[in-house]
Order: sequence, then C-alpha cells, then structure tokens
Amino acid sequence: MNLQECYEKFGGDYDGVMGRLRREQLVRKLLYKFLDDKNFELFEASMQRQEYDEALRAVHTLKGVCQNLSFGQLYESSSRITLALKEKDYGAAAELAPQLAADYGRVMQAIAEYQSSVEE
Amino acid sequence: MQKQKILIVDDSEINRILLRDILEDQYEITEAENGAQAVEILAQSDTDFWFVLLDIMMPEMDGFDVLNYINKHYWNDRVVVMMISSDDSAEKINRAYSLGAFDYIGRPFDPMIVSKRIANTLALYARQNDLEKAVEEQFYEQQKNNDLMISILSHIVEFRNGESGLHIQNVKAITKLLLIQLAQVTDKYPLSKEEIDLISMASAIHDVGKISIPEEILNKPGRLTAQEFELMKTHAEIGSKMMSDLPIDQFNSPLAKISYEICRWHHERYDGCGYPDGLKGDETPIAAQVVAMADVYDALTSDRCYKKAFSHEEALRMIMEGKCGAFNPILLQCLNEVAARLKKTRPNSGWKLEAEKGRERQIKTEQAGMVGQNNQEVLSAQPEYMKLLYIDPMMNVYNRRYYKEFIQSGADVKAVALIDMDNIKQINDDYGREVGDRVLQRAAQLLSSRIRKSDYLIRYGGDEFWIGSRNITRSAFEQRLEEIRKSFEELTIEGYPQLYVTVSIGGVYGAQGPETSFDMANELLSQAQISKNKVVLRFLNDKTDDI
Repeated sequence: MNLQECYEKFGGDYDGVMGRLRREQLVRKLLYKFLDDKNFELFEASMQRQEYDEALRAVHTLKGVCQNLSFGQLYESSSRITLALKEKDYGAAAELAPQLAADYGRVMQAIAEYQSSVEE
Repeated sequence: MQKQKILIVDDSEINRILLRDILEDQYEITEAENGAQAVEILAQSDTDFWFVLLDIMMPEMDGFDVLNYINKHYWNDRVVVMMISSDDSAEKINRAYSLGAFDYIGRPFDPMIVSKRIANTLALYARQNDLEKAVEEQFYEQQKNNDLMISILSHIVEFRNGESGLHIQNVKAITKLLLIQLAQVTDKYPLSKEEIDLISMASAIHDVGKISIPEEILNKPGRLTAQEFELMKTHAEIGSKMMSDLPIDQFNSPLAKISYEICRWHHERYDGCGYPDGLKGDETPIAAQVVAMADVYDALTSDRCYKKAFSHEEALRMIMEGKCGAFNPILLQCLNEVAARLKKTRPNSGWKLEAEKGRERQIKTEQAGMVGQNNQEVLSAQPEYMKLLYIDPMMNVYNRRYYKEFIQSGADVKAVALIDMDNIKQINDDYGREVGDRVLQRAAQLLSSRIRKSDYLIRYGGDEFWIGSRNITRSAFEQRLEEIRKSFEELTIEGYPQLYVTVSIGGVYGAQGPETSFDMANELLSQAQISKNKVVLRFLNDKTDDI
C-alpha cells in the first residue's frame, strides 16, 4: 500500500496534503505520530464523564490536526462535533459521536496497514 | 548571525512537528504545549526578541490568556505573536487582533505561506526597530548637546554668583512641574509638550544678564542699598538684550523668543509692581510668569549669601500671601497642587522644618551673613572681616569661634564626631613644624571632601576636628567615619613617602545637640586613642534614629 492508497482508503485528500507539505517523508512521519495521538480517546472519555469543555478541546485539537493532514472525512466529522459542543448542543454532539468513531477507526486502520506494508 | 527565536505554542504535538519541520532550517525553535509553558519561556529573559506562533484553544492557559499576559507585562516590544488557531471564527480572530496579535495564519498550514509570512513580519520589525533606534539616537544626541550648551552658559552666571549650582537645575525642574500642571488645569495658555520642554530649557538662562553685574553686588551678604538694587535690577533688561542682539534669523527661533521673554520679564509681577517694564497680568508672557514663580520658590527654599533657607511650607505660605509680590491666581493654584511633589524635590527638606524652630539662631546667622556651609567656594565668597573672624586661615575651614557662636548653642545636628590625628606631634618632631602644618592642611582638605554641603566641619583645636551632620542615617554615618579613617591611612605628603598618618575618631549618633554630645564624643575619642587608628561609636535613641 502506498501513501496515496492509504489516503484514498480513509477518505482523505492526498493531493491536498502533498500540494502543501510536498514531501511524502514528512507526511508519513506525521501519520505515524497520529497513531499515538490521544485526543480521540480523551474526547470519548470526557463525553462519557460529561466533561464537555474537555471534550470540546480534545475534538477541536483533533480537528486542527485533521485539517493540517487533509484527513477529509475525519475532519468533517470532528468539525461538526466541535461546532455542536461550542453551541453547547450536547445531544447533537452525542449523536455525532459514532460517526466520528467510525471515521477515526478507518483512519487508524489505514495508517496501520500502510505502516506495516512500508515496513515489509 | 544568530538565528531568530521562534516559540511554537500548540497542544497538538503533530502540529508542532509540522511547524518545526517548516521552520527549523531558518530559525531557532522552542516548543510549548500550553500557554503556561509559553509564558514561562518568555519570562526567562526580558531582553530576548521572540516570535510566537500561538494556538488559541489549549489546556492550562489558552492563547488569549497568553496575549493578556504579554500585555500586562509590557512584553509587546519584544514579543510578536502570530495566531495559528484552527478556530477561524471572526469573533476569535478579532479578539486576538485587539489583544495585540500581529497576524493570523489559518489552517491547514501551507509551509511556503507560513515561512513567507513569518519572514516578512520579521523583516518589517527589524526595519522599524532600526529606524526607531536611529531617530532616537539622533534626537538624544541633539538634546544632550543643547542641554550641555545651556548648562555651560548658565553655569558661567552661577559661577560668579555664589549661589548653589543647583539653582538652575531647580528652576528648570520647578518650571516644568508648574507648566505641566498648568496645561492640565486650563487651556487658557496653549502649551504643547514641545513648548513645555522649550520653556523649561530656556528657564535655565533666566539670570544670564547677571554676567554684567559687579561681583560685590551679586555676592553681597545682607541688604543692597537702593542704588545697588537699581543696578541689580538691570540684569533682566541686559539678559533680554543679549537675546535680541542675536542675528535676526536666530532671534526668530522659538527658543530665543522664549528666552527673551524669560530673561526680560521674570521679575514682573501680576499686579504690575515688578520690573523692568511693570507689566500687568497676562501682559507678561506665561513662560516668564512661570519662571518667576519657580525662581522665587527656589530662592526662598535655598540658602543664599544674604539669608538662610526657608522650609517648603514657609516658602509656600509666603508666596500665597503675596510676600514676594503678586502672582497669577491660576499659577498659585498650580503651585498648591504640585506642592507635595515639589517638596519631594527639595534637598534636605527634613531638617529645614527643624531649622524653623531655632529662629533666634537663624537671625543671628543672617546678621552675620554666614551660612552653615563648609564648602570652599562658599567660604571664599564671604567678606574679608568675616573670614578673619571665623575661618581658620591655614586650613580654610571654620574655626572654634564659629563653633562657639553659631553651632554650640543648638545647631540641628544629629550626628557628631571628633577626629584627632594620632601622631602629629611625632611628625612635628621628626620632620619639622612646616611638614606638620602641611599634614594638617591636607587633613582639612581630605575632611572637606569627605563631608556633604549640609555638614559642618570645624577645626576645633590644634589637630582636632569636629564634624556635625544634620540628617544622616546611622549606617551612613558609621560608614563615613570608617571611610575617613581609612582615607587617612592612604594620605601621602609629597616628598615624604615614608610619612604615615592615622586618626582616631569618637562619634555620637542621635544626640540632642552639639553641647550634650561634645563631651560624649570626646570620651569616645579617648577610648579610640588607646589603640589608635580606630573609630569608636555610640548610638543613642536606637529605635527612632534611623531615618
């Protein structure tokens, strides 16, 4: 699996990220870092505890990262939840959470697959 | 060249890595993962110039808090902030700008754009900084030269006039204080900041016409005769003529015009009873009115050859009551309003209150035309017969008679010391009296240089000196005596390199007056003389004495 295929797999914008960051090596480095990023877990845990400020900050940061990495779908879903939490519409945020989890899972899985194929 | 420092503040490591990757070739990168860390890094040195890339939403301390902190600590000169938040709502961006953020970079980051924007911003800052510095230096240099020339000019006048060299500085400072107040109180007299500076500067030469007044009249202790006074009065007109005689293009400059007004009319009074022209009210330009008041206030609160200083309160009262002629009511109001600040600028304002209590003594001093100052210029300005009576001819310091008549009965001295030379008899025996006398002369010079203008120095007996200080802290007193002792160890007499001088000192701090403390100081001196080259001190009233 190459980087472009990876992006296609999770619905990201490969041309967009390469147009800005230019070097595959840099994008790869950032993707691997994303595997360690704890903001999604922090978001889920905070939602469960109904600590919405913390949840907002986590998903907002996640959104910012997605934006820089042109994650497309994950960016869309994290943006929507960020907006809902900002407007203190916690019900809507909770409803949007499964979509975020699904998009996040796809990104994580695609990156993991990409990583193992590169290492082979 | 050192790399410009950039601080990346973002709670996402991925974003920091991305920015670092873009920037680290050109800049020195530091990272912070929240606002608190950022502030800590910025606080570490208060001179470093930082470029900060600042996220808004962060734990601990968010981006707005950081901007507020920067404002609160006046770091704006050395910290340039570019926001990098992914929150691009107009409200957030506006708030960041209004808190002093220089620019905003939206996401996603485009490395080309990010590095260009940073480079441009830095170039702009560097250029502005260089320009500011250049202008500032130029201005400062010019200002310094102007001040210097005026200072030289005015000191020529003061040099002939036995007055304290501080008079010009004082008049300048008081004039400025009054003008600033005046500009606040009324807009009757249009006073810009530039005009205030100009008038204050010109105030320094208000007495320049005195250069043509004979020294005997300038420095006459006691009253001038009517004829002498008429001559003295001409200094105003003469001063103004010096200005109007300037080449026309120079006379047309604002500084020369204002100087003319000040020189000519700083003795006019509001009711028309002043001189030389008897101008009334606002016929006298405001610059001259203000300098007139500053001049009177400073003259009242300073020692002069013909009078002793009045206290700040006394001087204020005399001016308010019109004892020194009438002044513009608005100016009187201003004087009242700046009184507290004015008092702070007065040297020795502490003891002058005390001085008022000793009216009798003061009158006696005034009659004698002597002032409690020991410095050599003041001494040489005294008339001949006074010198014969009260000044030691060999050493040019006050003698025991002066002590007996003016000090003993109750000068306000807080600290006294008796200083005795340990081995003058030995020196006389070994090297002859002539050398001994030279040692004594050097001793008097050294002591004169070691005390302040407000202190007394008396040659009390053969090789015994008395020093009295009016206002001094105990630690300063202690330190001074120790310095005096040490400086005698280093005293050398030309031609006699092996000659070695030491002194013993007995000092009393916190005494009620000279009379009670003298015996005590004498006793302490005897104790010091047992081991020689020693200071023995006693502090009285321990609790209250440290001012």
